[in-house]
Amino acid sequence: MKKGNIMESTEQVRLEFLLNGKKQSLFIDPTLSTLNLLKIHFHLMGTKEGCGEGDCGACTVALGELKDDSVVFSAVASCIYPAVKLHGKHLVTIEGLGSHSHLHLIQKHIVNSHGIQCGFCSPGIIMSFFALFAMNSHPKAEDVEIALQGNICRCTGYEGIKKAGDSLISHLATVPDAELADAIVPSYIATTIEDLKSIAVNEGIATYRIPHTLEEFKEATENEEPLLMAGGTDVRVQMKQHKIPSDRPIVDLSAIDELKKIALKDGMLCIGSQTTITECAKNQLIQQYVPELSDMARLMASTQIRNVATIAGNLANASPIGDATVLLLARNASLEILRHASKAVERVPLRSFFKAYRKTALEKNDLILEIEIPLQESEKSRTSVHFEKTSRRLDVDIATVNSASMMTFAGDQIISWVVAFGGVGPIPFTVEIVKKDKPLDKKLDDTKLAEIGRMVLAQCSVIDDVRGSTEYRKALVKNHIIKHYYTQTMPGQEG
Amino acid sequence: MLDYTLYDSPLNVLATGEGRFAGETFNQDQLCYVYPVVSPIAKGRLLGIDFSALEGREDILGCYTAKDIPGLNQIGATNRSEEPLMAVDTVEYIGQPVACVVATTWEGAREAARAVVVNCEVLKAITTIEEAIAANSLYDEPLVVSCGDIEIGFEKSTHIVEGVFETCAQEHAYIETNRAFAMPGDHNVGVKIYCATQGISDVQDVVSLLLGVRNSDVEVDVLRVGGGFGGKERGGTMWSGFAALGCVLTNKSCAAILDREDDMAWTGKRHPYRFTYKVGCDDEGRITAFDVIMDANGGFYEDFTIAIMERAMLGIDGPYYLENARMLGRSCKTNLPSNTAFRGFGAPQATIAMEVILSELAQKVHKSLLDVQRLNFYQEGQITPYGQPIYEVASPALLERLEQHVDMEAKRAEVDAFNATHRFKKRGIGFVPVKYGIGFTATFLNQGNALVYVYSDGSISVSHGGIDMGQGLYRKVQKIVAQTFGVKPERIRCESTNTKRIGSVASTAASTGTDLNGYAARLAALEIQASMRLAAAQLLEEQHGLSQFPENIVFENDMWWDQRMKDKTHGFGELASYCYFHRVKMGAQGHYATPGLSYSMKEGKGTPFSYFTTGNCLVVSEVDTLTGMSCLKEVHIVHEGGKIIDRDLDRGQIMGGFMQGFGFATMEELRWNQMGKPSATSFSTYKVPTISDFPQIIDIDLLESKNNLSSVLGSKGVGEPPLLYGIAAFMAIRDAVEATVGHTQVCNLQHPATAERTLLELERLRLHAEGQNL
Repeated sequence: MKKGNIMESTEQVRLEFLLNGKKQSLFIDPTLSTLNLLKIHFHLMGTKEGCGEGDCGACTVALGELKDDSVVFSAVASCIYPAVKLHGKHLVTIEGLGSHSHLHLIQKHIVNSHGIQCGFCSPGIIMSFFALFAMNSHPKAEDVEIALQGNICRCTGYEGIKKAGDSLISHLATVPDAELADAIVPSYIATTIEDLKSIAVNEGIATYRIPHTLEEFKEATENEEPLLMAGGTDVRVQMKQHKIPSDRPIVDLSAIDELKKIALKDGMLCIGSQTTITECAKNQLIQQYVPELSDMARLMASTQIRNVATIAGNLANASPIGDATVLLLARNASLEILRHASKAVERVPLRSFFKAYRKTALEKNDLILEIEIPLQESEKSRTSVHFEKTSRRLDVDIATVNSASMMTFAGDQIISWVVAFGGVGPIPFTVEIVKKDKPLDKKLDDTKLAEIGRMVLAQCSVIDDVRGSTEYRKALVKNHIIKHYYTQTMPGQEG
Repeated sequence: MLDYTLYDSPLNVLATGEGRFAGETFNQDQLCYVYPVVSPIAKGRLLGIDFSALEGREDILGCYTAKDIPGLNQIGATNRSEEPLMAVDTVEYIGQPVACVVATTWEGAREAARAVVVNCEVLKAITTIEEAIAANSLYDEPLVVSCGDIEIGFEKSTHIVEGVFETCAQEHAYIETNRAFAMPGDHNVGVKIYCATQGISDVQDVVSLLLGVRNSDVEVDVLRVGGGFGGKERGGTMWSGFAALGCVLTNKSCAAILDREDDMAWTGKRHPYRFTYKVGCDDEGRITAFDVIMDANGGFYEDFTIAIMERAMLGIDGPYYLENARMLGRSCKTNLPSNTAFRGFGAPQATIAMEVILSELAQKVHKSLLDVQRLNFYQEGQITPYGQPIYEVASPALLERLEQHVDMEAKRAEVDAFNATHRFKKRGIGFVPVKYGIGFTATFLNQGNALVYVYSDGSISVSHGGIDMGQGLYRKVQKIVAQTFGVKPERIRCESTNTKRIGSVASTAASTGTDLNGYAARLAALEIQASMRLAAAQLLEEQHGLSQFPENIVFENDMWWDQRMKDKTHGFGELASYCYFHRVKMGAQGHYATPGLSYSMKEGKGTPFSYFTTGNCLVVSEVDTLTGMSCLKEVHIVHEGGKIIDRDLDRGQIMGGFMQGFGFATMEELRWNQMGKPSATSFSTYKVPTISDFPQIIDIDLLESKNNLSSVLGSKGVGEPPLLYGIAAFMAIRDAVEATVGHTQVCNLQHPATAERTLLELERLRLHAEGQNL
């Protein structure tokens, strides 16, 4: 990307991107959503708004980004995706795929499988399919389910949509490799890498700064108190609900490449704060060293949200119920924080990060640089981590109670057992059930497990809200202990 | 050559995003947006509305209250005058409009409406059935449907179960929120409205009352709707009212589009019900006396509450014969948004209560629920509590059909074996047989209108009063007309539903869309065909000297011929052209009124239904006994669908209905607190099923009926009945919970069977069992 000029004088921000294969250049209001950009500036009405909060998937579009000289497509919820973030990317919408007389392959299969009734959610569903197949021509049925978990269809009961996935999978198995790419990303919407590269870097405007380095970040936050925004999946919802003023200046963190690295360092796995949840889940180091983080990803929000949201955002947001939060608490992770006041980098253990409801150790303009997960390796002991989430719905739901348990075994003994709970109190809390100096026999009976449950409950005050009563949450705390115990001590027999 | 793709496969335009929903043809940045200012409290005296926060704002075009309405401030569903568009003097629920703001952007309008201060004196609100009954806050005298003599019935009973069962509200969750777009009418008289509604005539009537113009000055046009499920049956009127008002007061095209949060918070849901029952049976489990009081939480305006109560009372018998029964229905007036129509219209609530009652009876007589269900099935010639005889007993045969798919005994053994070997996972079986009466209980609504034209090139235009909201009504009507004319469906264009072409029709509801509109279109087509037949005979005489014998003309596969001259076939287009030049009538209006219907609400007797749609569903669910979470393992459905016009569409209705019913039975939960505030107003707190909830095994047997119904082409309404199949998921979870205590105790699982309720019931049973063991 070329270096461009910062536009201080205007309230409109420059936006240059590809839309369905064609280069577009315009100035927009930085608060504009991608969905409204399509409707108002381009009169493209195919992308629908179902909820405006990223919860239904009707507005799903596919975003092509240049990564290591190839284009990576991902599904995003256009209603909460700021249009300004499209800069330098390729946006593919339903209009880009096909027309009624020349249907795209995916559209053909959806129609033939009768995966459409009222049709209001269909463009979003088709775009979720597109993003999936564009990156994986031979997905498994489960991949389809995960790709579509964030798309609500109230009419079909999903049968036709599932069938479309199955028939696409079997059809693509018969397509020669050389023709696969064109079958899914036809030439008329294929991204021209040169076009993307020719788009100059956008540094934003005064009310929406886009730093690309930590130095630029420091500069952007020197004298003001802007809102620091990563993926923005929660910020945008809060703006819509008028919980954050829509005119509040923003510093967009997502272009700082040095915060997107995942690496091993001093016996720790370090995750850059701007890595998305999808990137984490797909990362080989994470799959190798912290596999439960990768495994649990499907239970966190939906594909559309995971493609944009970051784990650091999940933490900084200070939700008492963050899914990654409890896992990282159990893992005793730390955060590297760039302090605004002292300009120093400070390491803060996650267990002392949460101060009160929605309040963290972050002060004005502090930035989380990375998350550090200590790796426990010992020849004498074996460590197991297990994540458990109870929610009203299997997928795409905020937990009533979630927890993560880290257990270390030596021989027939549990030598350490820590469980972190979310959704129980105003902040996530961690309880040490077995301390190093007091190991426990691996074989525990129901009475002992119940006793542990009571001990854990005695250490917290349990909340009551729309996601669950106090009574229910208390039962869940006790039962999560039982679930962790059986899953971790007798894998495969926990049923 | 014409490109018929569009008419041959109407789904194509939906797959490409080309299909236009309400208002999408407007240039969005040239529209003005109207947004209601609403009551922040459930009940109060309206003291004043303070617009001062909007002073000096250039994007605001106007702020309006009831006094700005040119006509009558009346939008009630059943009774127009009961409900105002904007409240005057008193407010009756949170979210009731009291004013509206028109602005140049949607965001600006919504934000401005929220900035307006509504000053009220707070009064005590009634939000629950209990409070309403205590305060005698009812719409009308209780309704009664009864048969036999329950006193004698109870004398004959050897077992009696008594209890209370409550059902929770359900949000429609159509993905397209309520919306309407209004522009000045032709010649600047009246308005033209594009909106998301299930009924054009209601919108037309309400808007003309509001504006003080004639029905004929209001044009309403609907091409398609992004999901309705009953929520847009009368729901369209209020938002069309706002758009129309904004349009005439600012003289600009105006849109009213509800945000999801507001749509969820301000609009009515499926009625919560409370059933207080006393039911007796004999030693075998045969119901001898059935006494049920049904209370509905109606919200503040009657809307369809009484009609829904009627259907709940007429539907609670389901497929079971009630010899001595008394149903008492009380419709409660509360300070909530008016609860309204929702697919099933009272029957889902009644069905779940009936199945819970039966399972309690089964436990009393130590029989399986299936045996008790079977024992109580209607038999030939038995009469429903409302006096309509059952001529067609379907349930036993449909159960036999299900048993061809699933060996019930083996399935029970399989589930028992699973439960014996799993400590923290339990499976359960739920079986629900369904008999659903088709038709509006208000007889006058059972009428449909259609307008058909054959053009001189042989293409055909069909308009009717029905709305396509995903159920594929246009496709079905297209096929009916095609079959009637003997032409290919792609010859036929289904027009938008428009009040200029179709006058005074019922909303598309009560599973009657095809029955009424399809039949009306068929009647119109038959009329045109009769005149074309005469012309055809005349043409043959002219061209081939064949004596005129119209009865001999056959129309088939886009061609026609005389049976005496089979080798000489002619094209449909040729005949159409001939008709035009010979001044033959090629347009007709069809009107269909379902015959044989009559029902008296006062007496609770009559023939409210033209036929019954029947079927059954078996579900196997698995419950995690440590968290209460459950999932669908298997779903088997046998559905009897009359003569099937379109198998894909019917299957789509069955599957979609099942999943919506499954959501109702398990995860969808919405309550109001004492202040009348809803517990969930977004998809992050109100959970509907996702693709991950789809069952591992799905097996749907869609049967053609053998008998000949008088309905259009012998088909049966399919929209609502399948929702009831989802209730089997509730019964399956209930069964799994009972399995944890070896089916020794009565499970008191309440509706809906959320993970929370399931776990708390599991804990209750466990503690109870421990207590007994001590």
